[in-house]
Amino acid sequence: MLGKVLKYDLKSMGKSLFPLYAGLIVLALVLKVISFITDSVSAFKFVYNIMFIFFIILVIGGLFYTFLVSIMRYYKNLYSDEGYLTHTLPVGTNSLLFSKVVSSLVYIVLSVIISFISIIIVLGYNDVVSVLKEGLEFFSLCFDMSVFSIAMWAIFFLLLSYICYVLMVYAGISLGNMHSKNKIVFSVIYTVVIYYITQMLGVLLIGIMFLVNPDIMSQLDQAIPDKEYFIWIMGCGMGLNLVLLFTCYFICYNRLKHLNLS
Amino acid sequence: MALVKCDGVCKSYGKNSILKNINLEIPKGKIIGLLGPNGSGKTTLIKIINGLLETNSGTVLVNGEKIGINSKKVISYLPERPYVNFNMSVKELINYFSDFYDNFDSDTAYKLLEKLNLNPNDKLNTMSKGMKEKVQLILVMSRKADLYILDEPIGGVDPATRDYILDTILTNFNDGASVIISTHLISDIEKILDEVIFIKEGSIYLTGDADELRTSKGMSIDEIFREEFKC
Amino acid sequence: MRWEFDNDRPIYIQLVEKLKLFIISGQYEPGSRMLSVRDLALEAKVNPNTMQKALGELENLGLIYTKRTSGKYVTEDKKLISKFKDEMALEKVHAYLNDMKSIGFSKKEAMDYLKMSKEE
Repeated sequence: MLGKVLKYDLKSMGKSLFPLYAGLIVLALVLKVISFITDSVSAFKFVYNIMFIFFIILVIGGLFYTFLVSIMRYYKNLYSDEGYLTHTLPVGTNSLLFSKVVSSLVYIVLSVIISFISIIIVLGYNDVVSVLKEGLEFFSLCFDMSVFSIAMWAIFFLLLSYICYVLMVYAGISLGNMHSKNKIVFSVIYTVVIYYITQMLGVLLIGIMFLVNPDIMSQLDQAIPDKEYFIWIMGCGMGLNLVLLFTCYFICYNRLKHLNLS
Repeated sequence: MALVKCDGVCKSYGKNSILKNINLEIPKGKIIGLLGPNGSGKTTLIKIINGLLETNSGTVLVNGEKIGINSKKVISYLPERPYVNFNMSVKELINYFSDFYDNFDSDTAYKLLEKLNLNPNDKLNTMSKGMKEKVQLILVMSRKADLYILDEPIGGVDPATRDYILDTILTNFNDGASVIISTHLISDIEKILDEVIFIKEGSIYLTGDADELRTSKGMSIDEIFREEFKC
Repeated sequence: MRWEFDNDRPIYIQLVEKLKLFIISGQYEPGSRMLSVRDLALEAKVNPNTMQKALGELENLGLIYTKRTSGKYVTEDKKLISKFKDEMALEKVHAYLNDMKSIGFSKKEAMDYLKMSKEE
C-alpha cells in the first residue's frame, strides 16, 4: 500500500511543482538568449539585470515553495475534509506518514536539481562547477576526506536538516489539530514552540561540549580547525537532528493513531 | 455475529458530552435508518465506526475486530460533506478508489456515470454541487462492501435528486450487505428501511423493526419520530 | 401510480395486498415469470428484504411458486386465483355496505344506489 499512497502524494505535489520547474527552465533559457543579445545591443543589459534578479528570487522562492507544498499536502490530505477519504482507506498509519516524508524529500531533491540546471544554463557550466568545487575542497581539507565523500556527507546533512524542518511543521500541525477551534493558529504556535525547543537543545549541546572540552571554542576561531573537533561538532549536530527527526515522526504517528477529525 | 457492535461507547469534547453509553448491534443484510434531529450525535457515531474519531470509552467491533485496516476494507462511507480532492477528474478518482479498495468495481462506476452523461475527464471543481454529490455517491456505491454508511445523503436536495439517490442506493448495494442511512428527513426514506435507530441527545432512544413499529404504534415512522422528539 | 404506500401501515402488508391485486386482476398472468426480488423492489422503490418477505407470504398463500433455478412464477391454478378474487370481491362489498350503513342506508337502498350508478 505504501507504493500506492506514494504514487498519489507524488502526483498531487507534482501538479503544484511542475509548473515551477517549467518556469525556472524557461526563464533560464530566456536569460541565456538575452545575454547573447546584450553582447551586441547594450540597451538589453538593463532588461537582463531585472530578469536576473527575478530569476534569483524564483530560485530561492522555489525552494521555499517546495517546502510549502509538502506542508500543504500533509495538512490537506490528512487533516482537512480530504482526510475523511484518506483515513477511511485501508492503509496503515505508517504508510500514510512515511509517504509524506519520502515525497517531501523527492521534491526537494528535484527542486534543487532543477535549480542547478537552470543556474548552469544562466551562468555556464564551468563557473558554477568551479565555485562548488572550491567549497567542497575547503571542507575536504577540514575533514581530511576525499571531495566525493565530503559531497555525500553534505548532501546527507542537508537532507537530514531539511526533513527535520518538514517534520517539525508536520508535528506542529498534528498537535494543532488536537484543538477543536483555531487549528491553524495552534499549529503555528506548536511549530514555533518545537523550533525553539530544538534551538535551546542546540545551545545546550554546545554548552555541554564546551564543559567537556574547553578547547573547542578556541578551535572554532581557527581558519581550519582540527579535523577531530570538526567531526565531533558535526556528529553532535547530526545526532541532535536524528533525535529531533524521530521525536517529530513519533508525534505525528501518535496523533494519527489517536485521530479526532472534525 | 453482528456486523457492527458498539459497547458502552462514550464520546465527549471537554465537558460537552456528545455520545452517552451507546450500545448497538448492526445486523447483516438490513437497511437501517439512523434517525435523530441535528446535533443528536448521528455523525459522531458514524465517524467513530469509520475510525475518524476516537472513543473516550467503550468498544466498537466490526466483524468482531477493532476499527482498523480490516474494517475500512469492508465499510463504504459517504460523509455528510464533500471529501474528495476536487482537483482530480472523475477518472482519476475512479482509479484512486480502485487502487485502494479491492472491492471497488470500476465498470459499475462508469455505467452509473454514463447515465448522468458525465465526461470522466471532467474535474470535480467544474461541476455543480449536486453533481459532485452524485459522483461521490457513485464512488461509494460502486464498492462491493459489507456495510454502506451514508451520512445525510438526501439532506438539502430536490425531489428528483432524492429519487436518484435512493434508486442508486437500492440498485447498487451489495447482496447481503447492510446499509446505514442517517437522516432527519424520515418520510422520504422510511419505506426502504428494515430497522430504525432513534438517537436523541447522544443516547439510543428507540430501536426496532420498521414494520413492527408501524403496527404497534399505528403510525408512520415519521409520525412516531415527530411524537417522540416533540419540542 | 402502480406502487404507492401509506407510511403508517406496515409496508410489507401493503406489498402483499398490491401483489395479490396484480395477480387476481390478471396484470400478472397465471404461469408467468415474476421479476427478481431485487428488480421488483426497485420498481416499487422498497427495500429488497421487505419485498422478499411479501413474496414469501404470497408463496405461503400459494399464489406464486419458486422453480429452483429459474425464479418465481405466478401460480397456474386458476381456481385458486378466482377463490382469492371472490374473497376480495366480498371484502369490497362488505366495506361498501358498511360505509353505506354508517351513512344510514339499508342494504336494499345500498343496492339500489349500485344499480343507479351502473346505468350512468
